[in-house]
Amino acid sequence: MADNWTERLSDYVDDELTPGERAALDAHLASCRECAGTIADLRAVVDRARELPVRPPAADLWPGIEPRLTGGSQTRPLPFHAHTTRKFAFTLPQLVAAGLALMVMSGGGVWVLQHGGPATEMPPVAASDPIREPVVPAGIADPRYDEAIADLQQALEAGRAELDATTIRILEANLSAIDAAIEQSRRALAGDPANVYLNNHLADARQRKLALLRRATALVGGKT
Amino acid sequence: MLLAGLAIALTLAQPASRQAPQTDETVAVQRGARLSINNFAGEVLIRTWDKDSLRVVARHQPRTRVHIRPGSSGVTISSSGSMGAPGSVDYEITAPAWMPLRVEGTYNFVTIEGAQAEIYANTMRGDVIIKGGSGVVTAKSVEGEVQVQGARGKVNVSSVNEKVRITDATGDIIAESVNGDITMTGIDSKSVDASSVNGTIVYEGKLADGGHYNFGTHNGDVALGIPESTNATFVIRTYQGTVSTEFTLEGYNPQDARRGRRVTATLGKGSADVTLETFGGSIRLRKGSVARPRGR
Repeated sequence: MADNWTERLSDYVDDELTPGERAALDAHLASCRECAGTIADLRAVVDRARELPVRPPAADLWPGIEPRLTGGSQTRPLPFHAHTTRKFAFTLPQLVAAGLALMVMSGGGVWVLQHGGPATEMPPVAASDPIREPVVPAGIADPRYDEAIADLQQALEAGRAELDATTIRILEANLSAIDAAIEQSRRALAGDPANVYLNNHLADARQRKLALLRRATALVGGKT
Repeated sequence: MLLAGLAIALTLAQPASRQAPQTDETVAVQRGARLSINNFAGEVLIRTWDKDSLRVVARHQPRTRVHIRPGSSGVTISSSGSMGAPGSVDYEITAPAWMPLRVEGTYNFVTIEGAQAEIYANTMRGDVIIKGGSGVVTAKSVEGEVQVQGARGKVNVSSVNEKVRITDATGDIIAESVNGDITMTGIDSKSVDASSVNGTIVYEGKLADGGHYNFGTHNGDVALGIPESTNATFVIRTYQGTVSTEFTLEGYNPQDARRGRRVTATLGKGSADVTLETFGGSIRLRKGSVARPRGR
């Protein structure tokens, strides 16, 4: 994995190499599958980071949630800096931090542990789970995500009477299935925090839970 | 309250399909007009014809009233009940093939056949079956199965709890589920994105040169049945699953495909980008068709 170009891959992704360096690295990438794969992973991380904040809830719960996500009136707004560009620079070791940042942006681990509900009705993800590492929730939770999830859960709970028992059971089963996926991804990440696939997979699962909760609360509101 | 109202309404109501039509109206429509239907419970069946008019046949309780409202943008159809809850209405609608269609409901089964325009169908409990459609075709259900056949354009299909099936579709495809399997056959697309949590994903069809294909599931399998002449670069990732292939892939080492490690393998000229991911299931690459997964 380590070669002379390893530390420059992030600069390459950020287009910060000189033309000469870039041409040399292009030539290297043509023959080094490992570096080409790392480039693709870095781009995937950057793309996901750019995508993260662009999904407001579709339900009308958003007005209540948005101030909490953005800080609301209780939080002093950050000054606006004109012409600032959002840059993403990762050295390979920083990929670990980028992965953790993605986890923090997506959040939800603590909620899963605390409010994961009864055991899922879904079959176990694997008959024998080789992962034995203890669950370490500290440091990967995102309070904003947790609050959004908690708000949606609360809204869903408050509207249970508007849904019939079958619908509630199905929604809970599917939420439990997602929770199980989140939990398994998180446990795997605890033992392999730099794993890009696991970081992306966990982020996807958390987004999916958020999306399902939004849809469920929309059902409570009488919308499909 | 809503549930109580529904229970009362359904207790009092006979199944709408056993009743004689209470509503049978035909209204003229102008080209460009849209049809929007909101049906709380029941069935919506839409067929098409080559006339510029809309025929609405509805079966429902006498207490239920069906409202057919032509407007500037099209025709809206809804119902109301004298006891509060709108009750169950079964619609048989014949619409111009060119007419964009929007069907929403809660306990609603939707079937649309022969449409050649944009379709949006969304229900909580009930199957959605669409044959045809072009432009943007959206079909969603929480508890029901969703089938889309012969759609052209951007196809967006999801079911939370049941199967998703897309056949003979052309154009960009997005398919999602949580617990249901996703099956795509006869697909001609340069962009496919299918994802699930517990569902198996099956894709049978071409992988176009320059196309982008993403198949990802947590607990399910990913199975592709593709022509032997395919040119594709596969990025394969699984954490604790397995990978099998009937193809000889350049750069593929089965030992590498574990613990989420990225494995890149090339078939032919490698011109299509294909990502295959499953956390705990199996990834299978087959020549031609994919045998249906056992036990599913």
